[in-house]
Amino acid sequence: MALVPEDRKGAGLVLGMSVLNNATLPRLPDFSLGGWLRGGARTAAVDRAMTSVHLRGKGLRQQVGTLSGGNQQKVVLARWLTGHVKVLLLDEPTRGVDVGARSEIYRIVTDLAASGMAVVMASSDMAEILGLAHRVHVIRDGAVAGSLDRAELSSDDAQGRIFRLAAGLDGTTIPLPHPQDDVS
Amino acid sequence: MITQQSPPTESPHATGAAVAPPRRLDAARLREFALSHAMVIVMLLVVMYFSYRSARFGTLDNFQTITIAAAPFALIAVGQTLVILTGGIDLSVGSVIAVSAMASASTVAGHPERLWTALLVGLVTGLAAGSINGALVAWLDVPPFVATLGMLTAASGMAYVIGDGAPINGLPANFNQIAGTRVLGLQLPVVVMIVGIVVLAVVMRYTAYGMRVYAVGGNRVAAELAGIKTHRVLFSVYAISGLLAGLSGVMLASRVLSGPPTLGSGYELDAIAAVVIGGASLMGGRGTVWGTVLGLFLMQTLNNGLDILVVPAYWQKVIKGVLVVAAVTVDVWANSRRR
Repeated sequence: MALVPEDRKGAGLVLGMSVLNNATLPRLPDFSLGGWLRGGARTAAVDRAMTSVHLRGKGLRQQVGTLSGGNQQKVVLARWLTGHVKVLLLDEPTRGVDVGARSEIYRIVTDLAASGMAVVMASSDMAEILGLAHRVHVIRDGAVAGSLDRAELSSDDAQGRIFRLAAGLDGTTIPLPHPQDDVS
Repeated sequence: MITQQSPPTESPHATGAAVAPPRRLDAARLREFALSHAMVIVMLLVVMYFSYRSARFGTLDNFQTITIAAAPFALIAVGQTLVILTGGIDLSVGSVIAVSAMASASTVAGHPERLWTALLVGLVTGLAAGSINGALVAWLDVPPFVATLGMLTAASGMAYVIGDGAPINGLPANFNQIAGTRVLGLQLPVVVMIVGIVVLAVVMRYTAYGMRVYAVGGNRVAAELAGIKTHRVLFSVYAISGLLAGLSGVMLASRVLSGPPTLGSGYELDAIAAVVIGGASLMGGRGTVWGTVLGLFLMQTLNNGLDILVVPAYWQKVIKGVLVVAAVTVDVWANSRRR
């Protein structure tokens, strides 16, 4: 299981470390033998992963902190691709990412899903949700307010329904809370 | 006026871009090199100056003197490097040296034949003190400054307790074997120093453990999310620091053939200074064992050279203090420029 956290700089990357080392971290057991780092194997695997996401930078030795936001996010994503992952958790994967890198991230996610990986994405970007998701669960106040499957998502009303669910205006699924309920 | 009013034309910019960069690049590269190797350059200048001022300074004999003086500091400075890399600090190493030395000395005082036991007792004492620091910091979330400050006081007190408030004197002469043994013509403390430096430098550079330490110091949350057991890493660096202080303590006691409870007092500051001069960031995540070794030898070389030039000890302290602040200032400045 792999996680791409929302707070890229705070929780995703060690900004002072190189691309190579950041990509090594989650797979440290795979890339070391008896505690020793396997230089060749990890460089090759990380290079392959970073090439597959078209990382733009000065090479694997570059400090991650000096990359652009979009490229940093690609590192966060691609570092899980050096090995097999069954479930990928994405939390706001395109926040603070430029348009070019954004579309590339979408392509990567689509490719991964097509290859059989289960992808769970949390997002507040409507275009992103409608464009990528096979199934949408709208979460409101910590609970699932409603779900839309693939067929429903392709209907013209999908966006409106999601908005209504998120705002709690969909009377059929969520009864509006009455002030009296709180007092009792 | 004219230049201000005229609209920017293509050509000056184009030629400026075409001509200036190569020249600027060379100057920038040179400055970059000078800044990133500032300590090496300073070290060379210091060595050159002392060699020029004194014929005695450049001798092999004197180099050995510097090395032997550096040995007890080297181990704790390297241990301190690991701790500082995680963003922590270990203020207790001086006292841990004292308590380990006392424990070792009191063991051998009663049983002259148990040399190995004495060594082991010293190491275990250091490891135990370091482990307490580590447990406090890693699992109880006590700030490193506070945890190790407590250990600094408590361990110093324990050193006096072991000696009943007095130094342990009259140790059997064979206790001196630990520090007096020569391996390949080098005194054992020097050999231990070299081995310790090389082992930890290699560990930090080429092993998964080293990478974990850097990751925890660089960004603890990210390290945790990447699957690193950050508590264990934090615990381990304090335990290692304590163990190395214990080793240092035994060798110091063996060298002076007694157990003074004041042994190692104030050493933690020299160790921290060496790490900082060596370019490590107290925020964690940045620094190297080699940098620390360089910082340590710069300080020891200054001590030695200033002694030879008969500079009063008080002035030596002033110079060392200025050096630490200057090193960090240059480092901060160099880093802000690099970005």
